Amino acid sequence: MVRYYILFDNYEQGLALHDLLDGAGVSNRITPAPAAARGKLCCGMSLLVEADMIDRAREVIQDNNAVYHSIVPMDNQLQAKRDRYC
Amino acid sequence: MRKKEKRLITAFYTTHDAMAFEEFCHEHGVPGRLIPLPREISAGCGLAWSAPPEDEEGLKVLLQSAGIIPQELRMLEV
Amino acid sequence: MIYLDNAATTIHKPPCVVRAVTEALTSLGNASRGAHEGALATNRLVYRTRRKLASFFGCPESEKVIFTCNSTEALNIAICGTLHEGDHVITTVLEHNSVLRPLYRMQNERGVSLGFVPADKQGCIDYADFERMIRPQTRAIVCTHASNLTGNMLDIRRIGRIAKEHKLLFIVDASQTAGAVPIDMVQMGISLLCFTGHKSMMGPQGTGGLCINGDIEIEPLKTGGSGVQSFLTEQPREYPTRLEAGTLNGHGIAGLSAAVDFISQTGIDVIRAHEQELARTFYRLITGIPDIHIYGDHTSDERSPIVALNIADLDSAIVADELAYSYGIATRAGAHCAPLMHKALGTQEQGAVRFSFGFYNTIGECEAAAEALRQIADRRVL
Repeated sequence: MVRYYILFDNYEQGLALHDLLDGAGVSNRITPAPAAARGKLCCGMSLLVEADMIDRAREVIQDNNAVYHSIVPMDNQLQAKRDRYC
Repeated sequence: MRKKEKRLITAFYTTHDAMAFEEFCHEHGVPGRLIPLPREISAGCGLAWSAPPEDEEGLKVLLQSAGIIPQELRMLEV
Repeated sequence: MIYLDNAATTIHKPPCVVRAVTEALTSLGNASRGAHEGALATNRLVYRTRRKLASFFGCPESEKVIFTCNSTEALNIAICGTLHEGDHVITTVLEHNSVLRPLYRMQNERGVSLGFVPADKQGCIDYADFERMIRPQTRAIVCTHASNLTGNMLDIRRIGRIAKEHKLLFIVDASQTAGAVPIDMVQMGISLLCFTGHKSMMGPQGTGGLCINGDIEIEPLKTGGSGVQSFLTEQPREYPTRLEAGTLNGHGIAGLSAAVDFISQTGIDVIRAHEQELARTFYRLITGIPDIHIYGDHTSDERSPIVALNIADLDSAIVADELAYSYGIATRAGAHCAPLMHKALGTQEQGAVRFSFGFYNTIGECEAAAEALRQIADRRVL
């Protein structure tokens, strides 16, 4: 299952877009930027957006001229089903 | 305005020394208090110790016991 | 939340620290800026806290306990304030960027040359390398007391002897050990000790200090208001004023003072024993997880309470995110501001997930974290 990580040059950019997406009702989560996606990028924060929300997220970015570095698709390395503490 | 009186003023190189001497005097029940450094004296620290004028030699002994080298000792009307 | 990121900062502070800061916020004036009771109260607090810290770290003179806003500031003062053009410095690959970046800056700006004591895949060094690297221009050894990534501790006493024998300055970054491990500057031969208040000291963020052992000339990092000798155009030369321009963080120092009291009353050995037990228990519980790779030398007792690991080739950020999001367990993933340590371990690409234990953690939390890791490992997409 593919998920999308929005990467940034710095925290300020990340938090600004997080607020914008929240305000627009686009589900997103602050998460550590995966090492594989980040490369040489300095900022360790990313926004995780699921596949069904990414198009809407791109619209919000465009409508607001929001600043970000890149959007990276990645396969989920973990299976979704979880048996928490059982 | 408070009436001026003669006091024995000790000036210090540093605030650290001033606070150290205040603590030493409190621990040993020595009369006196910290005051703003009078303008007649130039010193490293803006706090000075104001003591009764009678026993200058005694004060010198106290400073020595506290391990503090004062910048200046002077009798002043404050 | 199960908070296992104490190496970054402790979020559970002793109640007396919280009370001290709250009381300070409602009562303190500005230290060294007046003779009224508000300023004097702060002066007394600052003075007494210097005395406490001097005793706590075995610093011979309390006026040589310099307050800073954190270890980073203390290290910048120590490194940039003592090194001269053309000096040579020996450091290690265990270092945090708060040591590395000031040293690189000295390399660029003052032609200081650097030697790095290497580490093996366990993150362990060979102490003979220090002596092998010494040259006529060697001025200082700068090193961490414990790696913020692996938890491996260095034998500071041993390095201190080497430094003393060769008449070198010995600058120690005690960010991971101050408040967790007993430190005595004189016994350990430490010239300059840099510590932070907000990690194992369990004090407020924005506090820390530099302790100076002996007559060492240090040029100030910043100059400005000192409250004394106002007509001098230079920063006063006397310690501590020389290295403390501007208003001190009186509210923070009040909290730091209470934190020192708490550690002294609880007993640093009691705190250390508890934290070591937590780390050992967690280590023991996770060693059986398939494909887990744990970094650092866990055969030694000389460690800070840190366990860093990876699960197979899982991105460390994804593991940390899953721990936080699905299990409510806070850890730190990534590079940990320790680039050379990651290079030595071979984890530059993957990073590592770091679990760091503190005084307020429990064995139950270790067990929960271990079980969470087991489940995450089990769910790895193969």
